[in-house]
Formats: sequence, structure tokens, C-alpha cells
Amino acid sequence: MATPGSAESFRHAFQEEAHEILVDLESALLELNERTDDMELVGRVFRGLHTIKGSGAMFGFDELANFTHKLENAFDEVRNGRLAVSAELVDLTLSALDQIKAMVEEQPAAQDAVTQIQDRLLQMTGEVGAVAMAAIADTRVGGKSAASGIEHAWRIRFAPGPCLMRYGSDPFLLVRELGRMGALEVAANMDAVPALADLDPERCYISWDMVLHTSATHNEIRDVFIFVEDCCELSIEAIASQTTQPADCEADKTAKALDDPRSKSGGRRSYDSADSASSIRVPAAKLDHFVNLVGELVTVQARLSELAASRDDVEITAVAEDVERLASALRENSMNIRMMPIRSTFEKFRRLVHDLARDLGKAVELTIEGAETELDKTVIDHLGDPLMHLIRNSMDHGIEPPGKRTAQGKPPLATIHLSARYSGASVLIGVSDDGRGIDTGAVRARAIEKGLIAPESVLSDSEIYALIFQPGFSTAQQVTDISGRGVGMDVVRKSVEGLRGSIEVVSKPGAGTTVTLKLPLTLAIIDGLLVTVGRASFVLPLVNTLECIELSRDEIDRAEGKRLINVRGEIVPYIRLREHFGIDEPLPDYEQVMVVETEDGRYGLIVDQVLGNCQTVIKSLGRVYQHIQIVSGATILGNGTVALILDPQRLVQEGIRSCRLNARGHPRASNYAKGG
Amino acid sequence: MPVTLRIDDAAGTVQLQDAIDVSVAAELKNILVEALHSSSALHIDVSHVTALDAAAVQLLWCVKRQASQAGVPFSIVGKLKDEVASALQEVGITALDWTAETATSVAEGD
Repeated sequence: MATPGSAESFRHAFQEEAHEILVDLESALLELNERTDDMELVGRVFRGLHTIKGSGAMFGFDELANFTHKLENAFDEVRNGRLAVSAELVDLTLSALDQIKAMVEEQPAAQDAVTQIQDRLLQMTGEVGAVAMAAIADTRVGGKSAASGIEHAWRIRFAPGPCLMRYGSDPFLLVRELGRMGALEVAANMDAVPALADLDPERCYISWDMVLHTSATHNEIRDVFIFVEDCCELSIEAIASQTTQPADCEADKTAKALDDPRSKSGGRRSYDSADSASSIRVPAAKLDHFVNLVGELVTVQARLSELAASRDDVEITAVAEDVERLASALRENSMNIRMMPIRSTFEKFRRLVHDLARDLGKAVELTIEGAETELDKTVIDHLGDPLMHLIRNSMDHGIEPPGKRTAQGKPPLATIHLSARYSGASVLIGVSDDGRGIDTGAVRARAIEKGLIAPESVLSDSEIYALIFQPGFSTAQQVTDISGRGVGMDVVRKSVEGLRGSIEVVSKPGAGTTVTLKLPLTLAIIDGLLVTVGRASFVLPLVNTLECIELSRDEIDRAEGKRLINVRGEIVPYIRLREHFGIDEPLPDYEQVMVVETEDGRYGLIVDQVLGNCQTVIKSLGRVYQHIQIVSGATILGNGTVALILDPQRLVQEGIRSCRLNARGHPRASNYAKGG
Repeated sequence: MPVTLRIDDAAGTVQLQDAIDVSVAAELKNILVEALHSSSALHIDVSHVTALDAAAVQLLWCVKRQASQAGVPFSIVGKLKDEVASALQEVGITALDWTAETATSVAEGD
């Protein structure tokens, strides 16, 4: 790991920042594609390229800096109105961003692609340059005016915001840089300086009203403030467009400009409110370590509470209660720190939709809802792949070409809608489209063809939709680059299961399809029920557990050897955990049946005792045990013992599998395998 | 220490040394507050200053205004180095009288 302050750590910091800028650039370009005359977007793209170029050069990414410079030039031409934004320029820049990303990651960029992009940019800007050379009377060399000296007068108002100095910028340097561009008349305004007791020493209260006589362009003047534009009020206005020389400028003209009532800034400015929240970047590994430590603290606190309860000491009990309160608050806070809005995951897909629409010859827009919904970082990290597959599937199979849509009376522009919202302790992520919907007949036929279902089976629509998530299933007539191999939806199912989530599909022929992923807010803690079997403790996830019923000897006898229980008229098969785990200890008189909901239906899990609710930090069992699917982790109880956290879905599946195997030799055991 | 306070016969002198910028602004503010409250007259010695930024200038201007409002005699003592003075002029800072020896100096008060 790079030591803080080392060149390596600075390169890491640049790479992280560059990735964020690239994401923003991509987003800005895609918006620019829709609004080609939006100069704010052009400015945003220019600033992003400028920052990457400058920082890249500073940290030794020379090839990246040189390449980005060419893009920056092109967008400078756009800013100056000499080059128009076109779909070609946007596509070219998007391709260039891919190469820049490779350079940032210090992977070999595709040299041919880089050269092609550079050549085309040169062509575009070269064409502009040839026209500009002919049209513009004076040429500027190195930013200084040539002998013809066409200067303009600019009124500039500059008021630093609360964060400008905090971010390391020095307003004096910026004003001095303006002074190097020409003759500068400057008046500093101290009106906003508060009383000494109220003065924030890291905030600049001085503002400036200036008149600059220079041959530099508006953009060149604005570039002085390029890195502080977001933390200041800035206005640059041309005063007069006649040719002037600084020496000829009448003093009173300047004074009048400075005395303009608008130039007197009052004490309050538009940003004069409490400082906006700041944030700091923390490596994910540090955060995970912190959350682990908090988890350990909670475990030890649970032991302290148990010990305090067993001693009859009022003072120790009071301290234990305080520690419990603080530990609980600390855990809640540490869980919250891991929560991040899903925005950046969703926004990434704009590029995918744009590129796929172009490749497939379809017109599709991506709309997003609930981007501020927060999820645990780990859940977000694992969402990218399933969402990508769902979108690809939707674009390829769901959405019709524009001509077909028009013929059906639909708008030619299709929509894919990504949404996120909370639902209790879960989050619902939706991917919906207004395409052709799922053809249940075709799915059914394909499922029969692949032997997934019997020809005569009667299935509900949702059962048919569930078939598309089976491995290898695809109704695609041909495999495209995009989809059709039957791999993608299986990946979606596995990813969602890995996140302890579930999938629901709703579809209407001709109208579209919505796939909803239901995921836990966090993977790090689990709400569970603590149960015992013999001397072993287990945790069953509360989200799967429907109810707890007592199992008496009579009930067992009534079942005549079948592992079945009657729950208000419904026959529910059960699995004995003591048998499953080989726990050979005396049976209690009454056992408990935990009725759980699984994809295979309702099942019962027999335990000795239910001790109560527990909210616990899940600890991984490590690589050695990661293949044991029925256990999703472990937790340390207050008495120091370890409880395994069970996965009811997998338990049931394993139970069914072993019964089917046993059924060959033990006919009775097959009675509780669903589906016969 | 870039900022020190010396009190002689109830007159406070804040001595500024080397570059006075945002990195010492909090310290400068604390000392100016203390000086204003515990002195009957306040002087700021700038003769050893090598640079002043916006954070420093606004603090000095602020304490000058506050001293005036409180009726506390205030002065800048010592000559500001030429390069520092001209750098301030470039950015239009003329709110404080930086020029040369001032009306009241600490030496006169001794």
C-alpha cells in the first residue's frame, strides 16, 4: 500500500479523482448530445478535460495529458463558437474517454484508436482553424496582442465564496494573474468583512470590482478562474467593443465603471448561508475495518450485559446499559457510513443505453427515479452486473425498432426506466421498459423443449417468467453480441441470490416488462431469530421466517412417519435440523417448527428452542467454508459462543435433494419432496 | 512564531513575522482578539512581514475597524517591505495605511 504523502499515493488520488471526472464527463456528453447548444454543458466538458489534462501532467501521465489536450482544444473551439457540437464530435469524445480511462488505469491504450481519434480531431479543429485564420484580422501569439493590438475593456466582478480559500486557492493570485493579461484597474471591497468575533479566518470576505483592458478573449479571462468557478461569484462583461489602448483610457471612464452602483456588492451574497457539507474520501478497506471493529465492540458489549445481569450490582448494570446504548448508536452510525446513493450506478448506464441504441438502430432514452436511495456499498458494488444484463436484455429483446413501434401506435422513442425505493428493510430496484413484453407462449415452448417443464404442466404467468432465469434459457432466435446465449439472466438470478434478494417479473404483451429486484439494505447485519438445537446455536433470518409453531409428540404421531405438519389446513413439510447437522443430544418434550418461506414453497425447520430476536453482525466463515451454501456466516453471541447463520433457501434445497436421493432406496422419505 | 503579542504599559504590539497567510490566520485572529481586549492601544508591527494574503489582510482591516469603533488607538508600525506593499497594491488593497512609519510607534511610547 502507498504510504501517505508518497508519489504512489498521489497517483492513486489522481486516479480516483480522474474516474469521477470521467463519469461526469460521460454524463455531460450524453446530455450535450440531446442539447447541442447548451454552453453550460460545453463548459462543463471543457473544465473536466482541462482538469484531467492538468492533473495528469502533474502526476506524470504524459501520454494522457497530450491526448486530452487535443480534446480540450476541440472543445475550446466549441466554446468560442468556431466549432459546432455534432453527434460525431460527441461519439468521438466518448471513444476518447474510453482510451483516457485505460491510460488512467495505466493499461495499454489501443494505439490505433488513439491515433484515429487524434487525426479526426485535428481534422475538425484544423478545418476550423483555416477558416478562422482567414476571418480574423489580428492573430494572437502566446496570448499577447500582436502589433495591431485590438483590446477590449472588461468589467469583472469577483467575490470568493466560503470555500474558495479552504480549497487552497488564493484570491490575490487570481487577481494578479488578471493583471498580467493587460492593464487592470482594481478596487477591493471590504464591506462584507464581519466583526472580528464572527470572522471565519479561512474564508475570504474581500471582493473585487475591476476593469481589465486586454486583447484576451472572454474565455481566456474566464479560464483564470476555471478551478474556482464553483466557489465564487464571477461576472465578466464587455464594457465597450471599440479599439482602445490602455494609455488612452480616461481615468474617469474607469472610475465611472467602478462606481457603477451594481459594482457595490452588499454584505450578503447568494451563497451567504451555512457552509455546504463537505465530505472526505476514505478507502473502502479502512471503512470495512472500522465496521468490523464496531461489530467486535457490540459482541463484547453483549457479553458485558450478560455478566452485568448475572451479578447483582446496580452500578455495573448502569454502566453496562450505558455501554449498550453507545455501542448500539455506534453500530447504527457505522452502518450508515457504508450507505451510498445508487445514483452513480444508475448514471453509468446512460452510456450503455446510448451505445446499444446506436448499435441496434433503436431510439431509447433512459429515465431514472430514486437515484438518491441509499444502499450498503457492498450491495451497490454487486448490482452493476445484474442491472447491465437486464438492460441489455430489454434493449435487445424487449424494445422494438422505431418503425415497428410507430406501426403499433407507440412513440418511436422507447423508454427504459430505472427506479429505486425503500420497502421496509429492503430496497426495490426496478428495470422497466415499454417494449413488446414477454411472450409467455414462446417461453413455455422453449422450457418444454429444454425439458425444464413437462408439456402438460399448468403454470401461472409468474412461474413462466421465473423460467427465463434458468441457466441456458433463451428464446432468442440468434445469438447477438448483446444477448441470446441464455447466460445473462442466470447471472442476474445468481447475483440477486448472492445478495439474499429476490426477483419479481411483471409483463404485459405489447406494453412492456418490469423486473423488480428486492434486496436487503445491508449485507453486514442481519435481523434474525436465535434458536438452539441441542447445545448448538443458530440464527435464522427474520425476513424468511413466517411463524413459529410448537411441534408436539402427538403431531409427529399423527403424521405417521411423514415429515409433515398441518398449519391451519396447509400441509407443510419439515426438516429436522438436529438430523441435518448430526446433533445427537436428548430430544426436548416439545420442539419448535420455524415455518420459512422459500422459492420452493413453505417449509418447516425443527429446532429445540427459540430464544428470541437478535440483530447481529455477520462474520464470514472464510474461504475454507465458503462452499458450504447452507451457512451464510456466523456471529458471536453474548456468552462468547458462535452461532451459525443459516440460509433457509439452501437448507430446503439440500433437504429436497437428499430426499430425492434417498427416495430410490427409501420410498417413505420421498413423501415430503415437493413435486413428487 | 509568526505572530506574537507583547504588552508594555497596557499598549499591545502584535509582531508579525515572515509570511502571514491563511495557515496562521486562526492564530492571528486569536491574538488580535486578545490584544484588543487587553490593551489600551494596539499596534501591528509589519516590518518583518514577507507576504500577506487575503486572510491576513482582512483580519488586520477588521481589527483596525473594531479598534476605531471601540475608541482604541490603532496603528501599523514599521515599514512594510516594498515587494509586499506593491503586491498588495496590485490587488487593490489600500484600505490599510501601509506606508512607512506611522503616527504612533511603540518606541515613542517607551
